[in-house]
Parts: sequence; structure tokens; C-alpha cells
Amino acid sequence: MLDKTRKTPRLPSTAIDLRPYETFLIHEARLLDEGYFDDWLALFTEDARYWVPIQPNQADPFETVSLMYDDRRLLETRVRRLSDPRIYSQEPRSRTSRTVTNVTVEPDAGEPGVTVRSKFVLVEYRREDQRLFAGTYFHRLVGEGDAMRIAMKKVELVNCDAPLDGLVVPF
Amino acid sequence: MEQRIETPAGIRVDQSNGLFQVSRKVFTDPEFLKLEHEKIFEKCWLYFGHDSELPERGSFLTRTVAGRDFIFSRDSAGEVHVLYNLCTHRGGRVCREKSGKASVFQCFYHGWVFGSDGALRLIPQEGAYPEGYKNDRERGLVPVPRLEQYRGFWFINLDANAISLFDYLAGAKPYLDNIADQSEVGMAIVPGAQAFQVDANWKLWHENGMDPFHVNTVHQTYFEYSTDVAKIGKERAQASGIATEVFDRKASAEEMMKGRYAALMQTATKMKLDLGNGHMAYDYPANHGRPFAQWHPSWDPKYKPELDQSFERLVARVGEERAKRIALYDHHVLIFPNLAIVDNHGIMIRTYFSTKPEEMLVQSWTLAPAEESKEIRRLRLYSYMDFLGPAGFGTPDDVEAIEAAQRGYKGAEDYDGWNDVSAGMLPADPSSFVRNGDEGRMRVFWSKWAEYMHA
Repeated sequence: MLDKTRKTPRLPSTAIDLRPYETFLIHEARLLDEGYFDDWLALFTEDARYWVPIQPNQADPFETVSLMYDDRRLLETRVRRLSDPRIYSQEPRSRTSRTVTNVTVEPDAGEPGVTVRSKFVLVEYRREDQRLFAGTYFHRLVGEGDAMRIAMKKVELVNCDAPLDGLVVPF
Repeated sequence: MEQRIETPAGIRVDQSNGLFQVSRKVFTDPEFLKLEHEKIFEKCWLYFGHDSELPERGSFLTRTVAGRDFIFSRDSAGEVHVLYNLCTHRGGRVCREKSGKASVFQCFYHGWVFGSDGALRLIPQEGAYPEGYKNDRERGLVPVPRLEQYRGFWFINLDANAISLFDYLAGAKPYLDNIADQSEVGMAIVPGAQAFQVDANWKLWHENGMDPFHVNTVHQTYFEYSTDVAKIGKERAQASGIATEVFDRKASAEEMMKGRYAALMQTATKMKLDLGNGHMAYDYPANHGRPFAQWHPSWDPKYKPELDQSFERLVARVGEERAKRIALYDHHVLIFPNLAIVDNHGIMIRTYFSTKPEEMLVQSWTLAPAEESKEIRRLRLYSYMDFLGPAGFGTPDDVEAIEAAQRGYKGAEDYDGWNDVSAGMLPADPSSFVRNGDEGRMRVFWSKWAEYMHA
């Protein structure tokens, strides 16, 4: 059932220059696709969160189980495991291709930084099996010195509540 | 070969030579799966759901168990029902929502309306039928043949003549008590069920859950991480004036062994861990934090007061001995045929079922005391997802291991392949059991499995 109380999205403003955000997201996707996981981790702030909900429209990571809800410590562990030769679920390694598109800036919700909404398609090939993931990214990006950093990354998978095989490669 | 005592096909046992083997065919052959459905899944009590999933009168959810689609509902009088989700008219799917609240279910195909107790309430073309037609019980949604609960855990049985759930659970009941008693007001399922589609036979996951030997190899990367977290945490705890020696002592190999030995000696069957009816369990002293009533230096000291307080309240409620048992030990209980309850980094309830020999659907839930604070709930979810979720740091490597085994079984019929489950049958050094465990609990499962298959 559709939620009748929800608000119709507004046509995004053309006044915002999206190029810096698009460039950042494309760079992030490339780091992940090519396995530069430490460099990917370095894109996050110290107090960053990385969240993959398990329910559509899941409002809260603390009242409901999620597929992933990482603070910096868990994210570091995820990355450390990805670089470990004994991560058996990545032997052989997945090959991935991420496409990031439909980039818009979300209305200001009073939080620091800018929340950028985008669409992604992730193709993962491993062990003669190709998996397809798609969904919406929300990146809350903040400035740290001259650089842009991720304070929050939320990944809404279209099939978040489907039976999934192990998830190891970050979205 | 002639020394081997042939137990029914599928397993073979040679006690005098300490050999216990399982044929690889039982994981690949559709004939075995067909027999399992008929002789095990249609005869045994199967976990269905938890009482807390139906919080109010009119609450319902739909769930697939043993390959059948059911409605789990609490009717207007508070009675719980498990009904086949199939219209008695022409077989339309009556309830198509995952969960919700409703006083009636209307089949969208031709509009028949059923109550939350399953009784037929309304036929749109009632005049086309004889007087009182809809009041016949047979017109109502079909209830599962048997539905019983123990301490909030609801089970179904497709065999109307089955023994009671109470008797079936046998020695597993105290383990369910130890979970149910973690709350003063009632345990509740945390929203967000997890499902996995795994390319392996259901028995491989059940085996993995009782297998002590895979832990140090498959999960190395996880243990390195927890060691590091504990080390950092210890410094943090000491900086805030918390003495950590007691935790060092608990985590020492020697103490762990003593604790494990003591835990084993407390089980009814000592080393066999056999709870009867194919169920088994094992406990060991936890060397990590437990979201119910055991703080650990790997956790922020801010959580300590509440966890210590929960422990004190537990002692007041159930006595010190049982309180220690509940809060300071990790518990794994496997209920035949396909339910695992793991109480360590959180409480996980997991079932698995195959509709094809080389595939299974795994369903997984987590259970928590309904009254715990938001802070502890937050800690619990971190702790649970760390290891046990589909994207956790433990589960994907387990999946990899069993999927690899399943793929390897292809062609095993060419050389009459058997899996070896002999560890502990005839140990040259019996103390190795206390150090490393053995495969005895897997044999508890396989022996019962063979008994059902050849009944």
C-alpha cells in the first residue's frame, strides 16, 4: 500500500552545482570496484555511520535489525577483513561494477553537511554467479579541510527484505 | 568392510573402530529429501514463531514453514492460530500482507471473508448455497493439525497424532527456560527478520551449528578482531577505574577449560550433550560481553551499571546459581530437526528448510528482553549484527564453507563418498574433548535422523 501522507518530491533546483558531488560519488564507486578499501575507509569521518536497512522505509537502526549498521570501528573491521587473505567468502574475490547516477541534493534537514541522493546499480560476479543489486544511496557529505568526507552513508536496497546470500562487499 | 555394522542407509557406524560416517548422497539425492519431508518434517514439531510476534488481538503475520504458506494470527478472543493461507473456496491466497492487524481476512479472488480465528464469515453469493452452508467448520480456513507452545515459542506439527510438544522438547526445555527467564515482562522478537538463500542442503547448516572444529579456522578473522577490541577496551576500562583482572582470568585458557568441563558435567548426559529426541546443547563460559547481564571490557564502561543491575535483579529472581548459568555462559541449543537457538552475542533463532537438495531457505530472528533500555538495545543490535547477520563478520564465511562442501559433493556417487563424523567415537586422548570438543553432538543429530528415516 502506498503511504498517502507522503510528500511529492519537488523538482530539484538547477542552482546547485552537482559536479563536485557526482565526481565524489564516482570516485568512491571506483575505489570500491577496484578494491582500494583502505582508501574508501579514509573517505569517512571518524564519527561516520554506514547503514544498510533490512526493511523498506526503515526509520530506525536501533529498534530494528539491519543488514549493516556500522560505526567507524565496525567499518574498519569490515575493511580489515576485506584485506585479509583468510576472508574465505572472498576467495575468489568478487568482481564488481557500480554505476552511480540520478544525483540530486536533498532538502536541508538541519544536519551538518549536504545530503546527496543518488541511484546505483551494482553487479557482483563471483564463482560463476552474477548478482544484481540496485537501490538508492544517501550520502551526508561534510567538509574536512579542503576535502569532502562521508558522515553518513545509507544504502536502500530494492530487495532489502529478500532472502540474500552472504553480503561481504560493501555497497 | 565386513567389520562395519550397517546402520540404515545414509549413515554407517563401526563402534569398535571408532568410525561414524554420513553418505554424501543424503545432501544431494532428491529421494532422500523427499523421504525427509515425509518422515521428518511431517512428523516432528517445527518451530513456527514467537508469541511476541502477535502483540495484540487481531495481530497476524504470514510465514512459510516446511514449504507451506501459513497465517499466524491472534483472534479477537486472544487465541493463537496457525492456518493454511489458502481459501477453502477455490484456493486463492487469503492473506497477502507480511504482517499487520485485521479483524477479518478477505480472499481477493472471489471475496470470501474469514475471521482471524479462521471461521468463514461471509460468502458474497450466499444465496447460491444451501442454508447455513458457511457455518460448517469445514468451510473455514484449515488449521495446522497441531499447534502448541512452550514459554512463548510456538511450534506446529503436521502429524495430528504426534506426542505433545512438552514431551517432544525433552531435555531442551531448561534451555528455553534460560532464555525466557531473561526478561521480567516477556522476551520479544526485535523487528527485522533476516532471510538467507544458501546453495547448500539444510543439514549442512544444522551441522555447522554444532561443529566445534570450524570455529578457529573459518572465523579466524573474527577472533582477531574481537581480541583487538578487548585489548583496547581493557585500557579504556582501566582508565575509568574498572578492575579487569577478573575478565582476564575468565578468558584464560585454563579457566575456560575448567568452565567448559563444569558446564559439560552439569548436562544430563555429561559428555554426550544429548537432550533426548535428537536435540542437543552446549554451553561454555563467555569470554565476551553478553547483552543480557554480563558486561565485558570490550564494551564501553557506560553500559556496565545497567548490565550489573540486570544481573542483580536476575539473582533476586532465580537465585545465584541459575543466574550465573543464564548470564555468564553462552548457550547453543539445537532442536531436532531444524531449529537452532544461539544465545551468545545476542539471541538468535534460526530455522532452515530445503525444497531442493542443494538449496535452503534460512530464516533468522533475534529475541530480546522487552524491557531493556534503548542503550542496551543499541548495544545488543551491534553485538548481534557483528557476527550473526548476513553481512556480519561470521556468517558469510560459514555460508562459503558449506556451499563449497555442497558443490564438492557433485559426483560423490562415483566413488561412494562418505563424510567423516568420527571425532570422539573412540578417542585416544579423552581429555581432548574438554580442550576442543568433538563431533558427538553431530552424531546425536544423525542418529535420530536415521531413526526417523527408517521408521
